Amino acid sequence: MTEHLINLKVNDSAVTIRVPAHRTLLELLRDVLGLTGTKEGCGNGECGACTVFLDGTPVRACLILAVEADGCEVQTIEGLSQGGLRPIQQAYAETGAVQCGFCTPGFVIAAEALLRKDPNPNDDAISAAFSGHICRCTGYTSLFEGVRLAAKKMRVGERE
Amino acid sequence: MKSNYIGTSAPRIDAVEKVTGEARFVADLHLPGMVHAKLVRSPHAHARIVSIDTNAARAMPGVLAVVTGADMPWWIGECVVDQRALAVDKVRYPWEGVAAVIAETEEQAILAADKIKVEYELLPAVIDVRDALKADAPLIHPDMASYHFVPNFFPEHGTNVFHHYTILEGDAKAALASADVVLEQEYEFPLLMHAQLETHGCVARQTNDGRFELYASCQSPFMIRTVLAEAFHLPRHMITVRAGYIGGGFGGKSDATIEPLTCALARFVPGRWVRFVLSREENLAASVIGRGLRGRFRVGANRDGKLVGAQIDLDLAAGAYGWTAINIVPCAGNTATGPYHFPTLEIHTRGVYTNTAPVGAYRGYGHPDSQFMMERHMDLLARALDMDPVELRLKNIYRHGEKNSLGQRIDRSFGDLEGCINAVAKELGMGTGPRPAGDPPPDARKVRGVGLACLMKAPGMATNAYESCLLKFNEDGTVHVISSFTDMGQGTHTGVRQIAADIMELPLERVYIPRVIDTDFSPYDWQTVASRSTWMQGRAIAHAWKRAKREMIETCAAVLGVEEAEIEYENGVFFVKDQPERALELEQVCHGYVHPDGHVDGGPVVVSGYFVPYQTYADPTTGQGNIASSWTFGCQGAEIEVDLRTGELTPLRIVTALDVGRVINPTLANIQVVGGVVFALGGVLSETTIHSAAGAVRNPTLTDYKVPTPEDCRDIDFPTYLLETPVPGDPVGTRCIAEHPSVAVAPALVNALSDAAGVEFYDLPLSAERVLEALTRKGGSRA
Repeated sequence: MTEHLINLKVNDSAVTIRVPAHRTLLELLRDVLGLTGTKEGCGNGECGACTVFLDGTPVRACLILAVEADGCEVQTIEGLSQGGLRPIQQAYAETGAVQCGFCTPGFVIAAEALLRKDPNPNDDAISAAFSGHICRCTGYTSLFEGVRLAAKKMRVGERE
Repeated sequence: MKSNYIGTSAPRIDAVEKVTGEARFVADLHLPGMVHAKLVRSPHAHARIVSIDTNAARAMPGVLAVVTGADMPWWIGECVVDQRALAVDKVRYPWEGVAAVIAETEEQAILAADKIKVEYELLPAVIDVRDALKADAPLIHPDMASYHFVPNFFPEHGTNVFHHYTILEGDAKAALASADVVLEQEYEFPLLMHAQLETHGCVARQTNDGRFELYASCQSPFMIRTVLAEAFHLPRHMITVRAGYIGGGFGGKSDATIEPLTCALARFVPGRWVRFVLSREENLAASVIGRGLRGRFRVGANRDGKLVGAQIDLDLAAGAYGWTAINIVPCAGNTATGPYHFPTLEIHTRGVYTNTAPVGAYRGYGHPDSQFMMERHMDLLARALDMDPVELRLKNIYRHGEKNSLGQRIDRSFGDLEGCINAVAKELGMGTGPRPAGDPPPDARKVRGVGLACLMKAPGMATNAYESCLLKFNEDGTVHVISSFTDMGQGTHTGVRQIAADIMELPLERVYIPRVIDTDFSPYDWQTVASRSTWMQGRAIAHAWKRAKREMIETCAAVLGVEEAEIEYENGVFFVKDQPERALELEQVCHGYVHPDGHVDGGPVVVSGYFVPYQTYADPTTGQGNIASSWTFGCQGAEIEVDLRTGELTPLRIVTALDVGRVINPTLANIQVVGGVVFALGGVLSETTIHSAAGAVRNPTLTDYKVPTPEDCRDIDFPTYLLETPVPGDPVGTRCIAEHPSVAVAPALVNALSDAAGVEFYDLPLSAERVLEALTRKGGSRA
């Protein structure tokens, strides 16, 4: 099995590690670095539970090889939560968008990525950001509502 | 009881853990020395195992043990003990486990499992329940006569029927013979997969002194302990089951699924933690699946719409092992009437072995399956009688004091079904007269329609299905309310905290609900199923609080030097009747009262409480008896649009009205309803379990098993009416709600489709392809 030495930043910490070529970013995060906030729901890119930021872009960590993250910056749900809850995290809690919680980290990253680009997203934009994410509990209405509420919180926050 | 918190949208106590990814699930556990298990699974639905060659696998790097069914003599089951940890001699469903590898790493286990060679001799497989019931059908369990069944189950030996439940009331045959109208129709509710986002997982070890310890993604830790104790002939205290957060259950984690196998495997590597987490494909194809009911309904009515009787035959395609399905049989049977009074009834419900994955609980537990059929039947009957479908329902719902199919007298305190029906009818503009089948005008491209359906559900439980709790008071007057229900998303911990605070008249902040269950420390709980936890836990807490208060009053009386009868309690303060100045705060006595000289009265208060409703076994001949408690009634309706060119059905509004007794937390209750509706909607529009003729599962991925997506749901409106008819004699007064929003979605949509486009479905799903086919057959397609 070929191994590669890779250097990356995970949640602002430098990581240098040897990984087999077939190791996924998800396996690296969960099994090696112990960052289990990122969930595996399918391992095939079908559910969105493992979404993380790779150089600021939301990606499915199960579809990225660890070697592809060489030289990149990765931010996981743990990194996003450093320094307190983001508005989207507060908003999901308030609108009832959190039930079993397994899909939640993925939906947090998806919405955070959207809100960084578009501070006032309409439902088409939210729907596009949620594309490829599955929640089996909520029926999604409270997740849409959560993004709208977070956008509102952020606008109010800016004015203050 | 005062309610400071019940009825408010108190924040979810697990929200912060979940939005930050801190919440731990079983697959997140990395325990010292942990090893990994992988299975070799059968590609065939029904086959004799001729040989298993494990030699090459044993020689692979990292392999610690290779195990086959023959190495594991243990039998598994709860009501009928019919399963082994891995298949022995033959496989009965596709993806059934045949051999297992335990290795140091997951990768090593996968590579070694690939080296195992299994030779099979194919046996004829039966997937359709009608084939399984044929006189010459292959027997899936030829040894059924030797299986252990708990009382009140009626297998038919020499067939594939493991339970035949009968309801007899009056002479239905004679009533139908003299009825003005008799309508007969067959229906089918197909098989569905749960597709919880978190797949099943278990990490187990056998300690060197022979105990089992396990972490499980399970709804019912004490039931798992029972099954393990019986399988391995161990006393309960030799087994510790730990359960925490669960990434969705929906019934699919309510039975022991992979836990007995994981423990069995742990015996081959004593002292080591064995991790067994299902892949997505295994979760869909190889774990418990749901529904799968066929029915033939014959219902008679008089010209005025009054029902006179029903003859109903239901057959549950229960998969390869009956023990996860056996109690669905009576639940489907006794609720097949819907909430309607039938003076005469003859209902036969059979649980039948078939060659699919075991069928088990699936949000609604038999109720949505059989009520789908009855609620379709009511619409068809209304047409036959040229009556308004709302009027026909209102004419026949249980009136005060009328008996249901179990012989229970339904009274007004069971809830306001009429109010629910009226709310839904009003929302959809129904109830204005007969509704003939839709007949789209020739130039129409899209047509709309409405439909509704009633629902009822009670927990299907054992008679001794206890719910219990511990109140453990702390030094500062805060209290741990310790229970053993699991919260797989439904919000029970949050709701129960509100109930506990109100019962004890304490601020919410002083009540803490631990979210981790450990059968060594947590009080007994039968199972987290049947929508029972919030309802029953409130009663258990009330019972425990009564005992706790008594203990603290004893201490107060000693400290204040008065009789116990003179002490009263309000809002965290004990005081002498009519002398409120002679008072002690709860925190002064809940951990013993320390006098100025240092001596104490009382001590740390730790009390238990329990609740179990009055239930009995069903009569073996008539099926009647108090086998259901706490009915919740309701009605659901839908407005839909059908594209006549594509067959695509778009729900515009799905209305739900339930009489829940009392809303504990409005935000959580509403989310529960929307989530339940969408969960059921998947089974109506897009989810199908596809088996090949030989029984192979064709679509065990989330790409091919199509659960609802955000885009599917964003434009649907979900009007929700939660009625609150009080429950007499219940300090909290809430009814069960968790599964109920899934019960009548299917018939409401199928009825709406008929109303819109005049195509009649007696089964599911209403996929665009099938709807277009039906439109084309009818000549109504504009494609």
